[in-house]
Amino acid sequence: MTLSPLLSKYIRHPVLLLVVRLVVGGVFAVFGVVKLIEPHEEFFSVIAGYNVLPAQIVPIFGTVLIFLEIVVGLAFIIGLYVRWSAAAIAGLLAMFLVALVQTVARGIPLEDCGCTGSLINLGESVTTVIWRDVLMLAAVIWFLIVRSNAWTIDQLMDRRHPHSPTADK
Amino acid sequence: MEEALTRKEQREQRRQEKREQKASQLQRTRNKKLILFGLLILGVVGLIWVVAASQQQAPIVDISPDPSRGPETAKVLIEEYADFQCPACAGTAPVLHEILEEYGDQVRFEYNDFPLPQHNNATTAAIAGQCAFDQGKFFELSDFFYTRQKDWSNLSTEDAQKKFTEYAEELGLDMTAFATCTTGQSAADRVNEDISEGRSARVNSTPTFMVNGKRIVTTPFSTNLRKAIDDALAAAE
Repeated sequence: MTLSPLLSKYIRHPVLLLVVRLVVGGVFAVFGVVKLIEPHEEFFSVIAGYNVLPAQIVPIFGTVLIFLEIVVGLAFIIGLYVRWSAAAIAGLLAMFLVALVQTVARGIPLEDCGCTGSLINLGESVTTVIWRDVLMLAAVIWFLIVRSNAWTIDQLMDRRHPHSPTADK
Repeated sequence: MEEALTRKEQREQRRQEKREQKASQLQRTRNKKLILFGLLILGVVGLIWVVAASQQQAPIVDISPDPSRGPETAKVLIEEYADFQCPACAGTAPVLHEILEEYGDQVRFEYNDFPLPQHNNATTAAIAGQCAFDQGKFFELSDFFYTRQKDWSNLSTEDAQKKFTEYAEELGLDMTAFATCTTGQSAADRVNEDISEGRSARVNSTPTFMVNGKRIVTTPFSTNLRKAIDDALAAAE
């Protein structure tokens, strides 16, 4: 099945791909920084509330997660190792979705999903958060399928060396 | 023949040089990207360090007495920042009671109000709690607030106030003093002092528990609070 040339042109449009990077990367970077600023115990309490990880692991997992969210979010925005950062974001989103869906399936009441950190209270229901994550995951998967380096640091560097395996073809 | 071979060799040599040049350029690009990524990671680590350093400031301490249990000489001080309308606070309350009973005089408990803005009746309940504290019945009223939370959480502030007055009557409080207190400024000021103290200690959510000044992870509550108390007792010995 092939897409019409017009549709193909639009779904690969650099502006659209830049918007995806700014929005999804921005969500990760900003919420990561918010979690960094707030007392970590609050975020760890929310993670423990998912009833998935042993209590001893929660602080290490939470710390790594905050660090990863900021790094991959910023890397995705500026387009550095853009495919790797997109893949990492997709992996994190898939993990968040599994964690959220299992709380619904097990009937675990979540007052706060911990997505935004306690300093920002969006007051979202778990269902809203699931849909938001699905939407972001779909956007990132689309980004990975399109395989475009347009307007990224990768493209800027690879232009100087067109033989690079990551150079935009 | 010898010259032709030399030319062939020369061509091959040029190709080889080009290949090497390309490989070297590729390596340089890769290195530059790695350096940039390293700088990004360093920047994030620096940010973490700056945030950690900026959070070392001493919190404000309110001077008004807070509702408390246990001797002042106890080796362990448990401080709670809570909101009577918060379901999680209602969930931890019975576990806290059990733990305070269990540890007896080894621990002291201090309660601080931290009504959250999204809970419309939380501040009214906090003020009523302070007024019950004036008459020595804080913990009795706080038990009512938590065990009957669903009865008043969705009421209008006016109706919630009526409900709290009923609770106060049920507890046998001096109703004239209670009414004067709930409409006066003193109790509201004490609630605001607790909020300021909480904010300076970077409290954002409820319940927040601190054991000897160290914040604990509140899930799983019973295990973590017991562990924090045990650790504090061991450290004090």
